[in-house]
Amino acid sequence: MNAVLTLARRELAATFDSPIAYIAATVFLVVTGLLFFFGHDGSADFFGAREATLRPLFEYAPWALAVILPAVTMRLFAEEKKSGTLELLVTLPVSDVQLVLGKLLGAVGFLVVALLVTLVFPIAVAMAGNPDLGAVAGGYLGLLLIGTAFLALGLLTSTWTHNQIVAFILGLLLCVFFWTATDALIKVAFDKPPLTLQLLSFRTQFDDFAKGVVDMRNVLYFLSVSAVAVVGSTYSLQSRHWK
Amino acid sequence: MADPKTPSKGTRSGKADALVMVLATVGVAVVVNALMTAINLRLDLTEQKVHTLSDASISAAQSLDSLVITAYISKKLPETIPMPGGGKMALKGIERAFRDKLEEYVTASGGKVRLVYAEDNSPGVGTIEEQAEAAKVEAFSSSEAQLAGSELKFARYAMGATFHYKTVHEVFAKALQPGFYEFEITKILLRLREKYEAAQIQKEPLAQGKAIFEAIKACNELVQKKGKVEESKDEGAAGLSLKGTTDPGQKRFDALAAAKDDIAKTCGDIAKAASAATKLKGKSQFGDQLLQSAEQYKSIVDELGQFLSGTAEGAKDKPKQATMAVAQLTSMMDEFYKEVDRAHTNLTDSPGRKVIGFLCGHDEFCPFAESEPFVPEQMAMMMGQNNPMMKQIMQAATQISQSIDETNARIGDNLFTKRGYMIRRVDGDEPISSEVSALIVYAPRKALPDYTRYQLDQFLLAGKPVIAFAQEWEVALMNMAAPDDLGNDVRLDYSAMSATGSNLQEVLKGYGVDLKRELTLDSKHVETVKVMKLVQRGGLQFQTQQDFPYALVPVATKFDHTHPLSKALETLPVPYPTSVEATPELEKNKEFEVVRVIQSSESSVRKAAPLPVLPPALKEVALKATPTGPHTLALFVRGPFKSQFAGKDPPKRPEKKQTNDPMHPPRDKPSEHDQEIAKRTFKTQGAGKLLVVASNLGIEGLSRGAVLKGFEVGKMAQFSADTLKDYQTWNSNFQNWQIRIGQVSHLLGDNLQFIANVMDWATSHEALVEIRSKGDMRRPLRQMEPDESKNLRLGSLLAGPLLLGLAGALRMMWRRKRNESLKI
Repeated sequence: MNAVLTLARRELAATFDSPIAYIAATVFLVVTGLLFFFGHDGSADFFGAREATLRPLFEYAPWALAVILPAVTMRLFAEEKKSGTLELLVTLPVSDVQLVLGKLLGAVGFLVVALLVTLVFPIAVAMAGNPDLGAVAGGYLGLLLIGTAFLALGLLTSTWTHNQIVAFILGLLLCVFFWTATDALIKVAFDKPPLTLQLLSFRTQFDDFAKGVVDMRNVLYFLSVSAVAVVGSTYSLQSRHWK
Repeated sequence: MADPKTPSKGTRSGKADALVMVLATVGVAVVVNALMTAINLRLDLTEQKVHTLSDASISAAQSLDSLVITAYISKKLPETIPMPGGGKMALKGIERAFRDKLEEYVTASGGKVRLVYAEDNSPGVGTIEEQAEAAKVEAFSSSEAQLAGSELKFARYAMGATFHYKTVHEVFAKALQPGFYEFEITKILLRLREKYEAAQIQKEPLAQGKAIFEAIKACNELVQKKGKVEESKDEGAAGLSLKGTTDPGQKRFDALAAAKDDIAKTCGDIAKAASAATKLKGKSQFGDQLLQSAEQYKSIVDELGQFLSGTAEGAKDKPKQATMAVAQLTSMMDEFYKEVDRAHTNLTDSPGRKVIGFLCGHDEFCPFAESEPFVPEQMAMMMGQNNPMMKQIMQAATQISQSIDETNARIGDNLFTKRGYMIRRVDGDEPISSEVSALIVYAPRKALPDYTRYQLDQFLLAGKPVIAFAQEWEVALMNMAAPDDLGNDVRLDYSAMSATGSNLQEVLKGYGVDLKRELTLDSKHVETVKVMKLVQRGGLQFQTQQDFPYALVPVATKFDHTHPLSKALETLPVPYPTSVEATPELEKNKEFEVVRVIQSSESSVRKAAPLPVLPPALKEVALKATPTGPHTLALFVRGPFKSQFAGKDPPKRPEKKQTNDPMHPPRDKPSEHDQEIAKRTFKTQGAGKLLVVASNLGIEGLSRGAVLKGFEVGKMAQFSADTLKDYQTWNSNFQNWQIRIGQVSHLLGDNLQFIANVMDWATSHEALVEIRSKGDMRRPLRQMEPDESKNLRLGSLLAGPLLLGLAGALRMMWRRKRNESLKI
């Protein structure tokens, strides 16, 4: 576990040594902020709608995360592969799975920082009204879980290629697929889709968090997706021995 | 997981191992997730536990042993459905939410409640939607039409449930608002219990009512069947009597005449059932209604029998007329059967249901049609005979009166009856029925006469809740102006404030409640009003609407969170309020409980009216005044009230006006209701509950008296130029009611919820108040100046990036410093 944490710390530091982290976090903030204040349904903006709620933030933030987080994970393995530092990395006394977990935790660290900065929005809402802080906490927990799942998926695509751009595009496609395309595909494939299949959609699983409800089924689902992606990434890394 | 550091023995086996491991992980994840779908383990982080069953819901579920819930949920729901007022309602996730909520109740009941899902196309039961409709679950359709055969049809969907408890049942007809699932289900559970308990006591009347209904049903089915079947048969196939007959009316007559003995025998049971219904008569409104409908039905059957047997007057001489009369009578029977069905449904649904009375007759909000006709039809016809102009005005006035009745009846139906409340009109000049559990006096604008006050007094002292909403001032903001003597036409610029003729202040004073006449204004915590404006553009005049923050619509911010009515309230807009306080004597009296349920903010102020009405001028007044808030806008008092009529002779009941209404004939002898009233003894003191709200909450009464002000039949007979002016004034009055409601319509949602809460509280369903509030927990932003909101938005949009930039710069500096130190 120590090895994983050490790797995670190193990864987090490396992330913040690169301008990409600041750019990605700033883009995330600006996009979610603009959508939060101006992107309300109908004609009214946040102050026009006159409701002290963070629901619009939780509606739009997963979209932004689905786009931003693959940009953060794209370099995690692809860059190491391209620059040849992966071979150096695997000589460390850590297993592939520890390596993957360390990188993932490092990226989660970035996610936490990005989410912490968005706390300016709940603070602004609290200054203008009286939001339900429990619901806000639920929403943030949901963002953390969905973000972790996006990061794990991005990490997986990063292990598939040497090219960061390819890793980003594949990661983006996978995240967007899980966030929204599953709904559409299931509807095309099934006339009457079973409830279990409908639950594949990240969006369906995320809704409860946005309401302030932490349903263990939703938590387990995001953790399962992350776990499957971590295992996939580990074996994808291991594939270097198969050549 | 295989240790990735251990090289695989061969490429192929390594790949296979990896594939197996990845597939196994996916498999485990799928199985664990699938198993977890059956476990409903949730943590509700919301402050009011909005998504967790409350104690009242849990205990309601536990109190109903062997309750069976049958859920009707369409397999594939549309994404959205059209809403009545335009727009769309999203149904995403609604199915899961409904299932989860029902299952929560099952879990909470500890095995006492059983949940069954209606299955699609089970043998002999049809689709889920068909089963749902048969169970009275309301079907709804999406906006997408589907081709069914050669026609386009909107697909029907169902999302609801039925609840069966022993001999009674209730229906959750349309479950489309997840926020209110708990409220609706708990309401049904509480109702089931009350209904079952009351039905046990009323077993006999209910059985007698059922016998009458069954007898009428059998009679109607027989008559309709005989009439219909013979009509559709081919000529000659119906038997000898129909040979050569082509007229369908004649065919029906012959067929019914042939079956007259059967009809007489089957329909004869109605009279038997009605005469045996001794326990039904005079016991309840619904029992009497059923008996009355049955009586009317029976008289039609008797008449039909006379025509069929040829004993009716002229039946033999004029066979054509007799045929027509039979056709008419069979059709009337079917119509009256529907009435009987409705009356029977009301009767079976009535046990345990509490009736809420609305006082009417003083220009207050009275959600019923008037019981008396506007102008007797014959008189109206006579008046217009010589003057076509007057005829036209009479027709228009009658039309306005009809519109008022229809609007009030629709309001009552949509706001209350359809939501499961049993409301009843209480006329001030009659004693209040003992069936009424709570009385609402909703913003009277005319003085309550002594007899009405006496009824109200005795009702309160009997321990039943009285809820008074006050409207001391009428605020006309950019209303239609009636034509003036200078010949100016109707315009949309009339603004004024005038006192109503209410004497509620004097009435309440007698119970220690001081209803103030000054208006309550606020400069900071206010809502907007929507004002219609006429705008000139390019020589054309347009009507537009503009929102103005209005000092006379303060937003209440202080609530007593110990009272069920205000426990979950955060804010409430209160249009045109005065204020209300307990008198010092009442305050000192320890026997009374006084609760300031709703209060305005600290920035509010009390100002003597009349005040300037236009928003900018009114704002000036509010801004200049020194805040004196908070002021109480709703006060609750409970305690041993003393009668205002103690030591006085009780006022006499006004003489009942004679009407020619055949539906309400004068009674020859006193009814059981009259006898019950006669037995009532005068109470000088009694423990009562009184709630006073110092506002009409934006719901202004629409009454004939207020709209058709000055209408007199005698005056109409002397037609003059003034009559025309009067007519224009009535028209303006009616439109002004619509304008005023429209100005605060955006606030009505919150205020109607509050009224519904008041009604639940008044009928002892306090737990429902809290549960409903959970479903509609609005958290509005405080009133902000445009600059303040702009700064807040800009600040929060820039603060994050600035913070990140600063952190980045600091980190860069730290790294540079560290690198430099390493170089050395």
